[in-house]
Amino acid sequence: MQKGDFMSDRIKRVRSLRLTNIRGFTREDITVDTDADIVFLSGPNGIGKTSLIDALCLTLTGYHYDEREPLISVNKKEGSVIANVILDSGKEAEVSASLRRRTITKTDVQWKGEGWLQKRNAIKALHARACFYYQDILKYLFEEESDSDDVVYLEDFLFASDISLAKIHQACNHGLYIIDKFEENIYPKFATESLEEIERESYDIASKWEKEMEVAANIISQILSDYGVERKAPSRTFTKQGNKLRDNWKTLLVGLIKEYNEYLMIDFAHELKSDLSAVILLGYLKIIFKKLLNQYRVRSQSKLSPQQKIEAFFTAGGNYEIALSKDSIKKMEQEKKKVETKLEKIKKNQARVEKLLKHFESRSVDGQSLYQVLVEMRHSGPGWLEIEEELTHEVPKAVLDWLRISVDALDSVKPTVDRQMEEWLQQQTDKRTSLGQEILELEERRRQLEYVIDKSKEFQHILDDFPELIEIMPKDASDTMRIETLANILGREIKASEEGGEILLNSLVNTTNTWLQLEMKREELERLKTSSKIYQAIKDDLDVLKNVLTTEGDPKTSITSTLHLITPKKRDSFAMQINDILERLHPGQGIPTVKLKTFTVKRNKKAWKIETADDRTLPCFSTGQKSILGIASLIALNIALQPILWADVLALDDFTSSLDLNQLPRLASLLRQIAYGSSISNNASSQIYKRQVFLVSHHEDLTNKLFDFLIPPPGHTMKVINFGQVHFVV
Amino acid sequence: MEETSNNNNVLMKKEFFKNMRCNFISNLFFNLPGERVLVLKELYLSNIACVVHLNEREKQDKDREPLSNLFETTIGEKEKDTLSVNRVKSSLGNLMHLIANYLEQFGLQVPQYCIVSTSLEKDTSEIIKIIKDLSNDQDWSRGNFAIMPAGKDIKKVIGKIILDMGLDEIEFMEPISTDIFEKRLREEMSSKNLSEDHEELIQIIINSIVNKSSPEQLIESWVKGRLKDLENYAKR
Repeated sequence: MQKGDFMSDRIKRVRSLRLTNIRGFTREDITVDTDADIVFLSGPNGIGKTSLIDALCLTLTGYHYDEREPLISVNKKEGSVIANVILDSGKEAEVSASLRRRTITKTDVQWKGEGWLQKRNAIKALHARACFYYQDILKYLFEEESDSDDVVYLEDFLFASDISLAKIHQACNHGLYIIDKFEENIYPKFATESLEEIERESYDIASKWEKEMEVAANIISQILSDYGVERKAPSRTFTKQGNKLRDNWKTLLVGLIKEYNEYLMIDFAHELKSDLSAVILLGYLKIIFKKLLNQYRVRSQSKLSPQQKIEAFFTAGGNYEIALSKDSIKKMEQEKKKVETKLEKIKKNQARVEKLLKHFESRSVDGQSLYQVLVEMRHSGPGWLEIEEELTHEVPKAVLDWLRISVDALDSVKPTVDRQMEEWLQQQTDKRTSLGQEILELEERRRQLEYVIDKSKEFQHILDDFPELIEIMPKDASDTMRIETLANILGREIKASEEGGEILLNSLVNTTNTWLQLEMKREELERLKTSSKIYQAIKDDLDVLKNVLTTEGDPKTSITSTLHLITPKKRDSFAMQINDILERLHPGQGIPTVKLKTFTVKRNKKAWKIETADDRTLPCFSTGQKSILGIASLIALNIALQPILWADVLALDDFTSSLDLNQLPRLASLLRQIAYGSSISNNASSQIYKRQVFLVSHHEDLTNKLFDFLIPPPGHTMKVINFGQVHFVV
Repeated sequence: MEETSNNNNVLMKKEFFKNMRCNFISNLFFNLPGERVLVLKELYLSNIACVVHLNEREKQDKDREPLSNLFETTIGEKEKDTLSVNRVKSSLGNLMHLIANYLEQFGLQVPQYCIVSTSLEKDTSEIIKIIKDLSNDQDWSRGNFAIMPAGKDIKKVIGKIILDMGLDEIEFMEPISTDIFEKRLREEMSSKNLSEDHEELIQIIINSIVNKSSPEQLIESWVKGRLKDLENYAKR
């Protein structure tokens, strides 16, 4: 790493600090000369040594620890620290921090300096942590399970994004909330009635129909004779033992309809096949019975006297509208024409769908349908291609080539070809059903109109036979009138037909209609069943989506959290650096080799846990051991972060508290290496380790001994500032 | 280029090592029991520290009077051939003080180390055991010097003491830029068999981080888009 990769210059030395109203420095413009490789601050407790280090930290990094508040002297509102510094380029410069008291424990800091100084808060804080030794450094790097939410670990400092991972987790959880709301509305309202219930009811109604057919057989035979057929009424048995319809009941029904249609010659919209919907088939059956009923009425009326005809006219046949004039009959006939035109159009549409389905649907005669081929290709295609190599030559190459292309081509579009085919077939089948139902409704309407037109014409004949009735009719009567109203006006009663045949045929029409309604219900349930398949597919997709968001919304499982932003290699190398420095400090048998383990603490913070080779963790360490480890970690961190730090300054505050005498010469030689370098240290690599060192100690014995060990070699300087007495220079 | 620079450093350090080393003509320091002797092998001096290297070896015919005689002022005649902790303390203490005084006279005040090695079997070396104990005995050295048994690579240990602070291995830690974050995330993504949705979400997270866009808005709009697809599917 070349210097300047991150910054255009570096602060190599602090020549002086000018303090105004910083803690105990209450006089204006107190200047402390710090122009030396080592600046040793000594003196008793509470005299301002640490305050000077705080001021140094603030002015060099722009950062101060909250726990060091208040920074400004008592009864002062403003303060400042100005550092006169020498840069790596040789230039002199000033960096300063202006302080303004916001509250007793909160200070606003305005940090000014060279343009290349980092302004990002996390990096400023990291700089402070890596240069200024306070006893809490271990807590900020390695302490486990810290209760404080303010603890910021190394990776948090280093992650240079304005978007925190916590925000991403929150956003994922918000996504989950949206899905929950969506799910509440997407669930279809499933019918409570089960298909089994429909099956049972269908059996009951079919049984009823069969019995009614048996009774009406003679009447129907008589009606069929009007069409020139002398035979027993066609019928079928749809039920079987076990309260179920026969499996082939639709085929039987198709046969029955075809048989009747041979005589009645009704123009059905569909080609009669058993794969037609049961609703359509029963609709056709209903049409047949209605036609038989109409024919029965016609043949009954032809044998009646005019008086009987009036009686017959007012027998029960529904509460329909009667056209009272020839003009209104004409209007009805025009409406009937319109219905027939529309019917024709829909039938053509239906025929088109039929042709398409016939082309692509399953073909019992021609073999597998295209859809079945595609499904087979989806399921077995890749399997066919996994043919053992020695057998490959036994299969025609063209077949394998074609298969490979075809199997690959299934996934060439989205949705896949087989899925598109399935969806399209489903759409066409649904369309066929809906068109079929529309045709039935129009047929019904056409027949109603036909019936009412016939009845209206019949009424005109009655008026011809009984002109006196015209006088009774209100003059302002509208074009049409309900049959019941007409009966009231003419003093007649609507009577149920006493004719057994009409009752039987009416009942057959109604029973067929009930059966049809049941089949409609069944089809609706089947449709719901299909839609529940769709729902299941949606639910599967939603589950995947929810799973993904849950994973990424939880700091414990999200990939973003489990990511090692600082690679294990860098972490291990950092541990080696600590060990290297620890070895120099020789903490006796207290701290064997340490290793670092990454672990995730609460709120998705990633921290490194320190462990020794004999599996001891940080809490097991004594205060002295922690102190040595703290110093080693600080120096290792300072070196590891060198490319992103802008001030080559290292400050050890009250670092002698936990040292024993044995460690003094070792620490002293380490400090000499950092502050002075060896006599061959004027090369680029040694500059990585060179720092201006600030030392703070209040232990007189240890301090004096350290002075001796730190006496600088020629060309280097140490400045001792005794806060208790006078400033002097060595 | 960098490699050449490193090679130069190594050469410079070797040269420095050579210059800073002082060989003694009569280097027998101490008689040890069992025909062994402790030899004052070398003395190293730099701006950083002074290292005295003593080595235990078999006694040789050419060995003269031990230097320890000069220092052992308080030891009785009969103790001279036995190895007691007090005798070692006395001799080594005097040696280190003597060297310190000489250095001071020449204006050189640096921390001093005494490193004791053995050419014999380390586990059986009595002197090494004593040095180990003494290395933790602050009441004796009073922090005036450091004493330690030598490790495997004595030259390396001495180098670490007297030369500039070259660490064995440095991996600089850099700020985790959005580019690095994206790269790591993509590596992680490709190493795992993620679902299509998961990959899409990770891509959105990357976009959010890289473009500094609100993750809430991006993720919400993605979720709504997916739900719209499902809604359309449900309407079929």
